[in-house]
Amino acid sequence: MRNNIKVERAKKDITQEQLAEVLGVTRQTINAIEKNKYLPSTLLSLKMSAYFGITVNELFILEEGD
Amino acid sequence: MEDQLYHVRLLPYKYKQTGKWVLIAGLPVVAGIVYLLKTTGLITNSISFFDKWNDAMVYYPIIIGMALLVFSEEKQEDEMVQNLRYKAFVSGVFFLIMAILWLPVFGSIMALIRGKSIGMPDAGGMLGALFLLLLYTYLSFKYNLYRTRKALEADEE
Repeated sequence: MRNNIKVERAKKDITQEQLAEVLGVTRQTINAIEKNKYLPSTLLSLKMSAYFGITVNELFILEEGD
Repeated sequence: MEDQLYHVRLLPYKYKQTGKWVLIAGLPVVAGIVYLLKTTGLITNSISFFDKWNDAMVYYPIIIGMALLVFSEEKQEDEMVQNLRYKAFVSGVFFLIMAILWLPVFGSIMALIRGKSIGMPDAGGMLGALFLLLLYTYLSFKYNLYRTRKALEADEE
């Protein structure tokens, strides 16, 4: 699975730190999610997609083999 | 929204510092208490405490200190930290099982190297603790699985 968090973050011009603060997680968690090292919970995914104003499917993209 | 099953409330972050202090100062404090009890005549023989490092009393401050470190929150606690802690617990239990089960083999190898006869090492307490841990894990898991399925059956449309 890949994600568009970095792209969406760039569109909003916010840092990992700022996004982490909005979502109530640590910057390390945002970094891990962006780099596909950690798969976020449904709750965090929904919060993130709501913040960016897009659907979860637009934020997280399933790849072949997932 | 929070998962109600398996919910163990962790201690606040400040207990991590307490855990560190228990680890650092615990052993001298326990030794001091034993020394005081000995000098007052309440303990007549403390040789086993000071000589045997496998004496259970020695492990008390170590285990209490480590438990405070493990069962307290991080400074910045979030779902990734909780996920990593859960993985550490699972792998910790797995490696503990492996280590304890292989203990007789390592004990026998060491005995052979030292030219001693092979015997079963004293692992009775560890095996008992391991059994209780696995029994609790299995029963707790099965009970929660049963409870969840029952609740879901009732909600089925």
